[in-house]
Amino acid sequence: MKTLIIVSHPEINNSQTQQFLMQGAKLFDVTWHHVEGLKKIDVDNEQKLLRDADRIIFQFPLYWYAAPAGLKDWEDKVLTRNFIYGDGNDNLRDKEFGIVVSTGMPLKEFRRGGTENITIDQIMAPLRAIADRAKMQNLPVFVISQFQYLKEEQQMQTLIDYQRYLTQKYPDTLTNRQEWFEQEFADRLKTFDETNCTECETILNTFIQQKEDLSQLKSTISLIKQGEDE
Amino acid sequence: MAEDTGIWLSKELSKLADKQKAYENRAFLTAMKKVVEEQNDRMKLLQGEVDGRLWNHEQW
Repeated sequence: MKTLIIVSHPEINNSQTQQFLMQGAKLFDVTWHHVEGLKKIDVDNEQKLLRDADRIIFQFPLYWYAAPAGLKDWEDKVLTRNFIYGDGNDNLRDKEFGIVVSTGMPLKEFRRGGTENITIDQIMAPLRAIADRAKMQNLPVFVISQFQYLKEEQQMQTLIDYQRYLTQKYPDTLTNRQEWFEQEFADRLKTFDETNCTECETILNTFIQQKEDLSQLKSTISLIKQGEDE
Repeated sequence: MAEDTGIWLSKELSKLADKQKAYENRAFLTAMKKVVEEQNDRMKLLQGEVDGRLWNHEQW
């Protein structure tokens, strides 16, 4: 699966959050594409990038309840009517659309009765409307609030959650989480320190066994349920 | 049995995470440990459900 991240931030080098995420995005088949960093917006090239991706993520800090101006400019030039739906090709149909947004206010304030008194989903409505028009599959928003206040372990968890958001199969179920970790463990174990393959293989095989035991238990339960219905 | 295995697995991942110098490897193994804990919790719940359904007196 190919993931394209359309990143918008006018001062990306000064953004601790975006630099952190950029390190996390160095994964196989993930393209980091910073719109303010483009010398000029080549519409054909941008549309080709979108066409080639299976999952498209818009990533930005929240400025006055919206994305930065750079993203809007990019949208207005690249997402032409013909490209989105007008030529009947539905170029983005069935691709997955996600949003990674960072906020300076705590997430709990983005709800009715919170100091912001508006939800993140309400704020994202215009982007969702584009995705719907393009017949894309919406993923839930990935919100990073007050990154600089996160403790080290929370930042670590955010990094891995972000990587899963970029590459894990949708939806985020335990089954899909297990599959992601299984695959990634196998890919990453070569880079682990002070360990040998036997130890890692035992861990991986045990993890897979646990996954299969869970799946077996689920089948047993459905069999019992079937019996109860009869 | 599966419960003991799950606890063992969680401890092994902790140990492996502690040995890692690279931030990303530590983060990955710590997050994987959480999924193992989730597996363990789910296992207990499902095992409980199997027992509960097998002992359903209405089916006796």
